[in-house]
Amino acid sequence: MQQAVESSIMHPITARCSRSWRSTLGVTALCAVACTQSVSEVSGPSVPTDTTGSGGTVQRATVTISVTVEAADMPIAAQIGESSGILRGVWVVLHRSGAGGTTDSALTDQAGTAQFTRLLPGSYSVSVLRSLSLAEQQKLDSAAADVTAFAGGLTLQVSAPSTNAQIAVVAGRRGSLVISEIYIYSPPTAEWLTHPFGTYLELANNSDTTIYLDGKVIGWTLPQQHRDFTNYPCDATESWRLDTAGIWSHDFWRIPGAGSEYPLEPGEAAIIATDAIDHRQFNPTALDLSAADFEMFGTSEDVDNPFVPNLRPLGFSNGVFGHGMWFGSTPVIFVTNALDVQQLARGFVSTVSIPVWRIPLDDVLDAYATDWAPGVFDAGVPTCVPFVNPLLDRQHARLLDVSKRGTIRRRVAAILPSGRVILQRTRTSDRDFEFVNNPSPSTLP
Amino acid sequence: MSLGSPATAQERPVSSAEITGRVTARDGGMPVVSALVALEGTRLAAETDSVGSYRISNAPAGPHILNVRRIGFAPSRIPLTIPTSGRLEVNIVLARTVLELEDVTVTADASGRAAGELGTASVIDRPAIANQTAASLAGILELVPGVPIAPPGLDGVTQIALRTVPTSSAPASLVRGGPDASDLASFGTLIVVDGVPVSNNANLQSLGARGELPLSTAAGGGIDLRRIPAATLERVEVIRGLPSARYGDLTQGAILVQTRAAAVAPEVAARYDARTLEVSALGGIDWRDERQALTGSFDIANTRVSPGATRERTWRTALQLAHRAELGANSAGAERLSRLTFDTRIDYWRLDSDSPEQPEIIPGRASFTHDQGLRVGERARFAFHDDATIEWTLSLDATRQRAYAQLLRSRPAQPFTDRLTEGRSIGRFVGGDYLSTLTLDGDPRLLYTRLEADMRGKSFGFDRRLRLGAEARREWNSGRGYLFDIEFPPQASFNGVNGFDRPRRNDTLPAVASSALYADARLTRPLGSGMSLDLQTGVRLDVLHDGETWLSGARDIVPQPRINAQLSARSWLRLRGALGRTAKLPALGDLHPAAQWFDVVNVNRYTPDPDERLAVLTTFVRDPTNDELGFSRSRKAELALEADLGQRGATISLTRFHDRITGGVGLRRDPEFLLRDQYALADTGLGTGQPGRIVDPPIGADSVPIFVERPVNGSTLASSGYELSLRLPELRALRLRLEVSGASTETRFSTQDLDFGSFQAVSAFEVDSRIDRIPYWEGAVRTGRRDMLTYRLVHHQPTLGFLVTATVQHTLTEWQRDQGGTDTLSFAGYVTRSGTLIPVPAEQRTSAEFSDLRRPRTGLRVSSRGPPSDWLMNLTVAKTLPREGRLSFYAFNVLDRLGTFGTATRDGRLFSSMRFGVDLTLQLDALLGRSR
Repeated sequence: MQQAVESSIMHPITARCSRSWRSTLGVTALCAVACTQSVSEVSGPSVPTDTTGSGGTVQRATVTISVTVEAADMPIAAQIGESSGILRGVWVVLHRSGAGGTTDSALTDQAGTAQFTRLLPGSYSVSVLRSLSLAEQQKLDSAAADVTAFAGGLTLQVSAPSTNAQIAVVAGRRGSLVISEIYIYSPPTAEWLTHPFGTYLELANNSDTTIYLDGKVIGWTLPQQHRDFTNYPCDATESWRLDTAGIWSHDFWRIPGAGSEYPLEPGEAAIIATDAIDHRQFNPTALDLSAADFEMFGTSEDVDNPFVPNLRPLGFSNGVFGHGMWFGSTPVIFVTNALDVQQLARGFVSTVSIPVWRIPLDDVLDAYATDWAPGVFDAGVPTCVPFVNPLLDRQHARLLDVSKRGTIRRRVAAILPSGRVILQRTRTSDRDFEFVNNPSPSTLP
Repeated sequence: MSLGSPATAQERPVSSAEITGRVTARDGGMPVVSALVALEGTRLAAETDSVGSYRISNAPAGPHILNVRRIGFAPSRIPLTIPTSGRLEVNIVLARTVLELEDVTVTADASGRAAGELGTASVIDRPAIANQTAASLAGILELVPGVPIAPPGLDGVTQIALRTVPTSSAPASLVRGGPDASDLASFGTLIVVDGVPVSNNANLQSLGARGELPLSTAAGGGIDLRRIPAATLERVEVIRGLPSARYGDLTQGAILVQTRAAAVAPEVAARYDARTLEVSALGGIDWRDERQALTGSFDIANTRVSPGATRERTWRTALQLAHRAELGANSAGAERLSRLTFDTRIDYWRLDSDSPEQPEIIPGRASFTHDQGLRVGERARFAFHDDATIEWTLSLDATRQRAYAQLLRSRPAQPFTDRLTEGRSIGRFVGGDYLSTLTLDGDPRLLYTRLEADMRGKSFGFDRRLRLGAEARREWNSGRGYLFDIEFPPQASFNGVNGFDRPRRNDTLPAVASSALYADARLTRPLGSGMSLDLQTGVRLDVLHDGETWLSGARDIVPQPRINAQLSARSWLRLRGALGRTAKLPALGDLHPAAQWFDVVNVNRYTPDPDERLAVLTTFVRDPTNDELGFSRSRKAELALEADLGQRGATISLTRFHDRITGGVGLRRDPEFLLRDQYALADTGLGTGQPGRIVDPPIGADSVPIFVERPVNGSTLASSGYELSLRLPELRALRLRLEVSGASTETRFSTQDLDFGSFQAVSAFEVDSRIDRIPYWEGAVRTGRRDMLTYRLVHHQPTLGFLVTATVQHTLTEWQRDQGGTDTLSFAGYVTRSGTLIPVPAEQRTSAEFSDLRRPRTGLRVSSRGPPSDWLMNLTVAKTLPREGRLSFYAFNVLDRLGTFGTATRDGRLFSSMRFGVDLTLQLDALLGRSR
C-alpha cells in the first residue's frame, strides 16, 4: 500500500482566504495563488489579456505541471526506463471548474513537464496518466506485475501570470474486486428526484482468481460533505473526510452468503440493483433489472423480488425511501471486505444526529470519488481540497449529473490476448471513470 | 347650534370647561357651515353655525382629540388639553385635502388611545393611512413600534403577532422546531373590523404534518391581512397593551379597524409599481339631515410575486356597502332624548393567489388558493337620554376557500392499500411517476352576536362608564375538505409504517360554540392640582362549550380580570399601568384533528410475474383528539410613562411590557406502538401464476413504534421588552419634524413536545427492528431578540400641499438562541419499540448500559446568532394636485441596499431590492366641477 508523503510546504490552495491547509498529499503545488477569483483591471501589456463578459479584464496564465514519481514507486518506474524520478510522456489533463469549463491536455516532455498557456485564472482539476504498454508491463517484475499505469492529480488554483505545480504519481494496480459501473437512473423529467430506484452498481473481478462476494460490503459516504457549504464547512468535515485510517459512512450494506455461495470469476461482473424489478413498467426508458444478481432491501415497504438475494443495511441508513442506493449526490462509493460492525469505530456527524462508522482503509478494495459535473449545482460553493483522503483517491471525477442519461463506467486498461478486459484502476477517479451513453449491466466493455 | 349629543345637557360634567371657536376654510378663510366638531372618546359634539362657530360645554379635563369633519374637506384631528374650568378657544382651519392641513399627523399617534380604551395603543388615522405605502392592513401596521417594514404588495400570506419576535425555527428534517410565523400568530392577535371580530379559527386549509405539496395557507394563525385593503380604511387602533374586557379570543392585543363608512366625497385612487397595480373607489352620500348615510367602496389589486422568476400572481377584490340610519329623532334642530341607530355592513372580499405550472422550471408543479368571504353585519344601538345605550350586534361571516395543488411525484414500487378502516387487507403494488393533485375545499362560518349595555354616570366622585355585555360565537366549516385520489396521494414518503393520508371532510366536524360575559368600567376623576386618575377595570368570563350550541355544557372556562390605570400628574404627564388576563379559543382543526393513518406491511412479495405478487398490509387509525384541549391563557402586564406637550411640542411614550402565554396549542408527538403480524406463506411456487396466500394464524408479531401527533395546550410564549414613541417639536423654519419609534423585544418559546432527534433517526427507528431504542431530549427553550428603531423625518408644507416622509428602519440587534443540552449526556431518557418513555437519571447516563444513547444533540442554536445590525430607508413624496387630487411617489429601499449574506458563523439579512411607484388620488366631484 502506498504511503503518503508529508510535505513541508504550506499548501497555498485554499477554499477560503482565511484558511490554509498543510498538505498530506504526495504532491506539492508551488504556485502563487490569488485568494479570490476577483476580476480586476490590469495596465501592463506584459501578459495576454481578455475581456470577460462581466466587463472586467483578466490576465491569462501560464501553467507548468511537473510530473514526478512517488518515492515508493520509483523502482517500478525504473523498470520501464524512468529512473530519474520524473515521468515523461504523461498525459496531463486540466479541467476548469464551473459551468462551461474548458479542458486542456498535453504530454509531459523530456523534463517531465507539461505547459499550458493562455488559461483563465480559477480552479482547475488536474489529473495525469501514464498507461503502460503491454511491452512495458512485461518488463515489470512479479511484485509489480499488476501495475497497468501511473496516475495522480490535484486541484489547482491557477493565477496569472504563471502557476507551477508538481504532481507525484503512483503506480496503479489492477486490484481485485472493483467498481466497474455506476448507473444512476434519471428519468427525463426536471424533478430532482424521480424514480431513482432503477439504479445499479456493477462489481467486477479485475484479478486472476475467483472472488467470493459473500459478506462483501458496499457503501457510500454522506452527501454534502465535500463542498464548503455553510452548514458543512470543509473545516468541520476535514477530520473524518481526510481520516487516513478509514472512510466514515452511515450507509453500507452487506452482500449475503456464508462464504462461498456467490463466486465471481475473473473478468466477470455482478449487478447489485436498488430494486431488482423491471423498471420499464414505470418508465419505458428504464431498465429491466429483475435478473440482477442482488438487490437491496431496506424497509418493509421496499418491494422484494423473492428470487434475488437481498443486501441488508449494516449502518444507520436504509437508503433512499428505504430502498437502498441512489447516487445523485454521493461523493464516495466503496466496496470492502467483510466487516464486523461491532468492531468498527463509531461516531456521530456533528451536523446531524445520525451515527457513522469508520470502515478501515485496509479493508477497502476499491472506491470511486466524484463531485458534481461542471455546471451542475456549482452555486459558487467551492469544493473541499483535498476532496478525499489521497490514499483512497488521488483526484476525484466530476461526473455526477442526474440530468444526463447514461452511465458512469470504468475505463479499460488493457485487453488480454484471451479477449478478457482489464479495467483501469489507478485510484484516480478522474482518469479511471468516464461517462458513456449506454448502460451495460453485467457486461464489461 | 348644537347637535344630538349637545354639550349643554346630558353628559354629567366632571369639569365646567367650555371649548369654543370657529371653523374656517383654508381657501379664502370663509366660514365652514355644518361641520361636525366632536370630542373623541366622548359623545360630546357640536355642529358649526352659519358663521362657522361651535361650542362644546362641560368638556372633561385632560388630553383629548377634537375631531372635525365636513364633507368636501379633509377630516381634521386636533390634540388639545382641556382645563378643569374656563373657556378654551380652538379655531380650526379645514382644508380641502389633508396635505393642506396644519399639524397633520401622518404617522401613528404616539400617545393615542383606542376609543374607550386605556391600554397602550397606536392610533393610525386616515392621513397616516393615506401617507403609508400599503396595499393592505399589513402595511399600515408597519407604523406600530417594532414592526419591520416590507415592500408594498400582496406577495405572500401575512399575519401579525404583536409584541413578539421570531425565535429560531430549526429545519423540520433536523429537529422539531418552532415557532414559525403561523405558530406565533396562532397565539392570537384579535382583529375587529367595524366592531365585529374576524376569525381564522375555522380555517382548515392545511395539509397537516404529512402534507408534502406546496400550498400557502394562513390556517392555524391569524387571518391573512392581505384581504383588508388599506385604501378603504378610515382608522386603525392597535391596542398593544391590555384591551378592555370587551375583547376576547386574544392573547396578544387587539387591532380595531374602522373602514371608511360615512358621507364622503367620491374619490378614486390608483397605485402602480413594477409589481403591484391597485385601483380603489369610494363614495358616500347622506340624506334626511345626515341621519341616513350610504357608503360604498371598491378595491381591486394585483401583485406579481416574483416577476421574471415565477408567474405567480395574487389578485384581491374588496367591496363594501355601509348603511347608517338614525331613527327616533325629532325635527331638525331639536334635542333627541332617545334614538335608535342601525349600522348595516356588507363586506365582500376575494383573494386569489395563482401559481401556474412552469414546465421549464418544475414540470407539473402548480397551485392556487382562492378565498372569498361575505360578511353581513348589523349593529343596532338604542340610546336613552345620552347616558345609556344598548347595542346589539349580529354578524354572519361566510368564507369560501378553494385551494388546489399539483406536483409530479415519483415513488418506488411499493405495496399499497386504500383501506379506510382498521384491519388487514390484500394490497396491490403501485409505483412510478404520477401527477398528484389535491383540493382543499373549506367553507368556514362564523356566527357572532353581542349584546352590550353602556351606562354613564357618576360614582364616588368618578365619572363612570360601565359596559356590560354578553357575547356568543359559533364557528364551523361546511366545506368538502381535503380531497385527493387515494391511489395518487400527495405524499411519496411512505416508510412502511406511516401511512398515506386519507381524504377528510370538513362538514362532518362539529361546530365550536363559545360564549362570554363581561363587565368593563371606565372611571375618571380629577384629583386636584391638575391631577387626574383614570381606571379601566373589568372582568371577562369566556366559556368553550362541549357541544355545538351555547346551551351545551362548559368544556373550559376562563375568568379574565383586567385593570388599566392612568395617573395624570399634570395635564401633559401620565403614568400608566396594566395587569390582566386574556384567553384565546383553540382552532377548530385543533379541537377536531384529522385521524392519523398507519399502514404496516405484513407481506411484500414482488415477483417478476405480476400474477404471483402478493402484498398484505394492516391499517391502523389513531385519533389524536385531545378532550382536554382548551383555551390558551395569557397574562399581560405593562407600565408606561407618557409626556405629551401637544401637537407642536414633544411627545414621548415609553412602555415596559411583559406578556406570558401558557397553554398555547401545539402538536405533541406521543409515542405508541402497533403490532405487526408475521405470516407464513403458502402456494408461492415459481411459475404457478398464483399470488400465494398467507397462512392464518400469524406465526408471530413484532412491535412497531409510532408517534401520534396530538394537539395539546403545551406551548409557552413569553415576550417582554420596551416600546418607545418619540415625537420631537417641529422645526418651524424648516417645516421638519422627527419621530422615532422602536421596540426592544425578547421572546421565549417552549413546548411540551419532546425532541426525538432528526427526522431520519425517528423514521429509521420506526422501520428498523435492529434499533431497540432511541434517546429523547427535553424540548429546547427558543429565544429571539430584536431591537429596532424607526426614524421618520417629515417635511410638510401645508401651503403647497407638499409632504416628504423619509423612513429609516434600523435593526440594532437581532439574534436567536436555543437553550438545551447538546452534549452526549444531555438526553433525558429513551423510547422503546413499544412506545414507552423511560427516563434516565442524569447520574446514570454515563453507564455503559446507555452507550448507544450517548450522542450529540443537533439542531439547536446554542449560541446567540443573528444577522448584523443594518438599516433600510423608504421615501414618500406627496403633493396635492389641482381639484383636490393627490399624487405620491414612493420608493421602498430607496438606496437599494442589499443587506448581508449569511456565513457559516453569522446569519444574513437580505433586503428586497428597491421598488418604486406612484399613487394617484382624485376627488371626482372636484374633478367634474361639482359643488358639495
